[in-house]
Amino acid sequence: MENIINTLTDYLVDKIPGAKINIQENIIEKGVIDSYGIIEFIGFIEKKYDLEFNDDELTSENFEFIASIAKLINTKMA
Amino acid sequence: MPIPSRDIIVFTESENRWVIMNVFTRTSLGVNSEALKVLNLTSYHNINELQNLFGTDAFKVWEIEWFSNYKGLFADPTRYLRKYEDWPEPEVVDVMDLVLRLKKHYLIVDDEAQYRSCFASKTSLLDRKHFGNFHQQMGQELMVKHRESPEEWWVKQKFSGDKESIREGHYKAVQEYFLKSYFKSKFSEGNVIVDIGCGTGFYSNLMAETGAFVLGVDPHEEYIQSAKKKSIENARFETLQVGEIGAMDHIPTDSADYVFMSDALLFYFVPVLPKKENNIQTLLSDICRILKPEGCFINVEPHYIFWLLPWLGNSDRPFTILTEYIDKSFGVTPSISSLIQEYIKGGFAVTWMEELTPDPTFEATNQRAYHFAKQFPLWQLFELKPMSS
Repeated sequence: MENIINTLTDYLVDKIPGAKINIQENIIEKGVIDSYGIIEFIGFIEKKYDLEFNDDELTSENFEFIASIAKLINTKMA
Repeated sequence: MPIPSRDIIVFTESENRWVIMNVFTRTSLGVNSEALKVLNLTSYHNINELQNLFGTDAFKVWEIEWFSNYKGLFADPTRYLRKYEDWPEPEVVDVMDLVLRLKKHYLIVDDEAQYRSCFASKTSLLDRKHFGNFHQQMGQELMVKHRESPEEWWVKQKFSGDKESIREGHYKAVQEYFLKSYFKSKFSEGNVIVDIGCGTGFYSNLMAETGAFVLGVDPHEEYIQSAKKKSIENARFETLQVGEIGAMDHIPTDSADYVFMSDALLFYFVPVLPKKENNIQTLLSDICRILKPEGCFINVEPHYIFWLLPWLGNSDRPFTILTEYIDKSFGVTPSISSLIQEYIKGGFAVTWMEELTPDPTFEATNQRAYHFAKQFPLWQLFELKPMSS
């Protein structure tokens, strides 16, 4: 789980120079990532972890916090 | 106790098949006659009472809703399978499941205030709680559900596979049909035309065929690359951040006889992405500046009322339902007063207006689409002249 969180955080820091990532912070609401950015982020996760999110899983609730994304990845890989 | 939404209409589709549609949310479900009785009784009985009333009764439902504009921006926007022959096999459900289906499609609601709060902008492409406007819904459908690039989809929905011609449908039967003869009657050799938001340059080339010189500009580099490949002799294309301050500074003042713009000004009223507003007056003052004093700005836009309204009724005798006009939560076109006020603030006077109707031969291709567009135009055209002239 911690590895996943680090991978996700590294991606965001790499993609968004100067971004301060707090895993407890809502990345959509705080504007860390924009609408197009989130789609790229989802693509990155799917490729990296060789998984595919279905339409029902692609909701704000699942992708607002790094921790909730990591949890979803973990569940899907189990 | 669930409340039947006051926002619904019910109409028959074939023997013992009904469509229940929420005209605000644009969601629907196909049901049999027995299910309609449940819909009616949901206002008077809670779920336990409904279970007692209907016991193990079975109801037929058809999941017929789909995002029909995926077929195109001017495709049938009614969002359910129009031919009952195309409907899936019915699902047989009990009263509990029926109530859940009715809720899922917003045909009954549990909490009216909560339901109404859903009519707001989406906060992101992943936001499923708010309905958002048409552009946001389209973006979600393309980028989240189909993982398609909106730019590529736009070209695909407008042009045929070889990109050399416009696809069958309203773009061809209304817009191209009208513009072909309009351009011929309007433009001649020696005219200078600037086509703003030219996309892949299809109409720029059509204008250039009259002998006029055409400069096509668009902010999308990939569209301009495509336009350059198909460019005819007297058409030239440039990537240009239209609407940004200074973007058109290199186009000389008083140089154009005509400025043409189609299907682009609406984005200045409702931006595709929140916080990405463009300043319409920056654009209009640029247009005013580059036009010769006796020049003309021709603006063709999706109709300020009828585009995206449901195509209801018989295919040869359509009607529609209007749910919003001044404060649009779904629609993305400006009201007629806000559009004309912006033109005037930009220094223009309206000298002509037309509402575009289809090629009569289109009736044989798509009767419903033809009759709807004939009665309820899907585009309007304005001719505008700088007011000092």
